[in-house]
Amino acid sequence: MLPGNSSFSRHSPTRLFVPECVHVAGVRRHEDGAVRNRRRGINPAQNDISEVPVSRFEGPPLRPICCCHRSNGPPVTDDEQPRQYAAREIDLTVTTAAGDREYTITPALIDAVGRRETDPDIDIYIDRHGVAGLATALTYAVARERGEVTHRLMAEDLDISPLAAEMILQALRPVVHEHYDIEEAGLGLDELDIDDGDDTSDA
Amino acid sequence: MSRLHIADTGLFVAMGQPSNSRYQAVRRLARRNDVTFVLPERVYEELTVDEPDVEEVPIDTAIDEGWATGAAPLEFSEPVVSRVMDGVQRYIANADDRPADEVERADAALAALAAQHLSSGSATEVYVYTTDIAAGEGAETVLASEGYGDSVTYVNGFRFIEDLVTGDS
Repeated sequence: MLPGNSSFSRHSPTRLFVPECVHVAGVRRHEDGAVRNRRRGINPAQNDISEVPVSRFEGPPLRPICCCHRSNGPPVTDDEQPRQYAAREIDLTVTTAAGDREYTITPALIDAVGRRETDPDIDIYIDRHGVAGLATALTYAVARERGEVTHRLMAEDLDISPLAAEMILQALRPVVHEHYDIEEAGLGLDELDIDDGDDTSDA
Repeated sequence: MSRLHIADTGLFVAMGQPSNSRYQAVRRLARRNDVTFVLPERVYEELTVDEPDVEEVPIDTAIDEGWATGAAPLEFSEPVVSRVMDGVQRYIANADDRPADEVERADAALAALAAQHLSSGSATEVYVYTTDIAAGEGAETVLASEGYGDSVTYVNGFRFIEDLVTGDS
């Protein structure tokens, strides 16, 4: 089942097939005509990933637009059907502990889960808190990058240590910047008058 | 002109282990420019918590190496310290529509430490390094309202390290 068609119930394992490339984010919907910018693959206004109705993401299948899928053969056009692309399977099981809370599988969440293979912090977090927990953490990561919450507020809300909160927020930061428009805040080193840069030794 | 460099938890988390090029780049910059990162008490406590799932942050190594140090307790008897503390808590609470008393005091401790040093004259210029935008912008905003707008700089911890590593390579 493709993620665009996924409509899952509580406790049901959902199998997702995602493009075999690092740009899991690079998906867009075609059939509905809504071609979206890759960095805006999900609605940026939809800040709360974890508590919107599942039905909002029902729709046509998602297609990869990553350049690596276009490397062989003639240029890909939208009117050549059918098309094939490589996919790898990831297991995505969302379990809710209480109430009627619903979770939406967003491209950002799929991207984040996919990174557990290479990021031990994400892997451990999913082991401890599940994919649903990661979805919640991703919500905080977006809000943090927008200057709305701090790692300490997240820690307090979720009853985890501030250090554990900071770790997962940092692990999810690249996902947030890949899928959302985030304005840079604060200064970097280049704007500071600190580094005289006359010595490169590390004595 | 004396400078104070106040570091938040996220800066040290982002550096990684001493074998990491990010850690080494920050250490190199600190040594080259005689910078010592000062950690508010609560930040040090956060970094040294016993957390089985999380790799230990080598803050004690940085302290032993001499480019990081813990700050003395905040002097809440100084009116400006308390005012800045309350002000930053309100600022962060506003950003997330929650009551100010729910905001962790450690978020505001960065700015309060800056206020303490600026008001006593032990620092004339303060840099606040944090990965929490709300804490950094809150510090700048509230300290500006106390008349220290030109003396405080919020440094984005991620951008700082990224610039440093890019510049070194």
